[in-house]
Amino acid sequence: MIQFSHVYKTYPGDIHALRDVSLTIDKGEFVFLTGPSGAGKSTLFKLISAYEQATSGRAQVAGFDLNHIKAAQVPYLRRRIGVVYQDFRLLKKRSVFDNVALPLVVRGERPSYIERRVQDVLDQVSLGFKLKALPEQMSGGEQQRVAIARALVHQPEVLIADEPTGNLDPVLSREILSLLDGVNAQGTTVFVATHDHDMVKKSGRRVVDLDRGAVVGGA
Amino acid sequence: MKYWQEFLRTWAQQPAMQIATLSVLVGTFTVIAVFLGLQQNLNSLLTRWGESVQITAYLEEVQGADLEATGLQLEELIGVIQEEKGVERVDYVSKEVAVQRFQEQMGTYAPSLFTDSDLESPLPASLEILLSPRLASREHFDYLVSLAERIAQLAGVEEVSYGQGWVENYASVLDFFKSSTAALVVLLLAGSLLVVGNSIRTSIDQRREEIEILELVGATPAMIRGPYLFEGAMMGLLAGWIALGICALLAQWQIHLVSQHLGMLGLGGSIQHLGFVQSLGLLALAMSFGLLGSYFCVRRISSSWNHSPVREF
Repeated sequence: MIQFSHVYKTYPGDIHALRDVSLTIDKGEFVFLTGPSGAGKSTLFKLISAYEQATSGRAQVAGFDLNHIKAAQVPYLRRRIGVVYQDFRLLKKRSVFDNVALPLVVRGERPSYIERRVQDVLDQVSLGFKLKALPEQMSGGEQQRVAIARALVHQPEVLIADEPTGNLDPVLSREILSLLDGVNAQGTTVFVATHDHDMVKKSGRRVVDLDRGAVVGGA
Repeated sequence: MKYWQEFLRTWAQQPAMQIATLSVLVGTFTVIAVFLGLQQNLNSLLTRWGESVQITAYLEEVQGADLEATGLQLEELIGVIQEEKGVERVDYVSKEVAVQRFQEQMGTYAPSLFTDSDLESPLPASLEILLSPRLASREHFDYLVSLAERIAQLAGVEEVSYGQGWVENYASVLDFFKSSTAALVVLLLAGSLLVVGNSIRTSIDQRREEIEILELVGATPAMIRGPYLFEGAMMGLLAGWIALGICALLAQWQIHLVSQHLGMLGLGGSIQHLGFVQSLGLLALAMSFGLLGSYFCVRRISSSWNHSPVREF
């Protein structure tokens, strides 16, 4: 599902964000990505979601060859992955329904299907009763669940989450993790970047460790 | 429907910015509409004046007699001139008719001329050549000059007159007005691009986060740009429509002023608001420039994919 082979990412000024990263994540796997700040976790996620392109090496995600992908194909790659960020990235002035419906709207789905699917996925994250609420009126944990619902509503093949529990307390973090477990149980490949070593240890999942841009374990 | 919602949302979110942009655009397109109207009215006025332009060919006297006396040659000359492209009519004015006209025109200043039946005509016989199409452009003026030169070469023609100095000035005025209007319109349209672009840029800056989220969930660049292009086009269209309204009111006011103070010149009928086709043209122009201003601003809106060559191992 995700395959990186000898990938380097170098920014101007000889800043090596990723060095010789080789990594394979199979369909249906749940993998944690750990490492200190500046290790290159966010850069790796930017490459996966096609916000950046590798300086060298080969990268493939959900059947797309990221070395040769054209700009016009990028939106179609993003429709096959779901992304969750630490800071939620919700439209503050739009309702929960509007936020979650967005991936389906851009795919041009029928309104009746959108309504049904959004309700289903919000029920899945236990927010089915907050369709009309605004993100600003919700707690951090609830906002993160809305962001996860948005990332799942179009049934992506891969879900990547960059520090999804970074802004949450331990109780809410466990809630989010169990939600991601549920998503993975349904067959979605999940790749989560985190600082939370306790959470990683308790989960018993595969861990890829990054340090100064290089994979130092779990590849 | 979705685009309309976005358009109305922008107005609700930044009414001051939108009103300021609309005002500047209305001002721009009003000036353009006024100049187009002025050009149209001046053109119709000048064309009316141009219609009076004609070539007069003064005929030679042949052995002490008029060319008229040699009837065959006169008919031949008229025939040759009528063959020329753009000649509508050729009228023969005999020496007698010429002196009669002279007496009528000058009679009030020199009454004795009216009564003197023995006055021998000092004026030559002539041919008055009426042209078609009417003189309304530099090309017509150039044709008039070349035609006059050809007629002057004909046997039996002594001299040709077509009010040379006046006609040349008249053609220059037409040229100057047309080119200066075109330059002004181009300048104003370039300004309108900047104004629309600035408004859309502000709108984009305020919705930067929304655009990033749309990119994140897989919206294509066309989907992201669509509402902004629509906004620019609608802004232009609205401004053009208001400008036409203002221009119509100005035209009504001018007609009223002219008929009240310059009624004796009979110019009231020459002043008209822009016609249906011109109005439609102005609206299309306003909409196109709104769209174009917006396009220049949004064409790089969605450039989150940093596409550079990748070295493969």
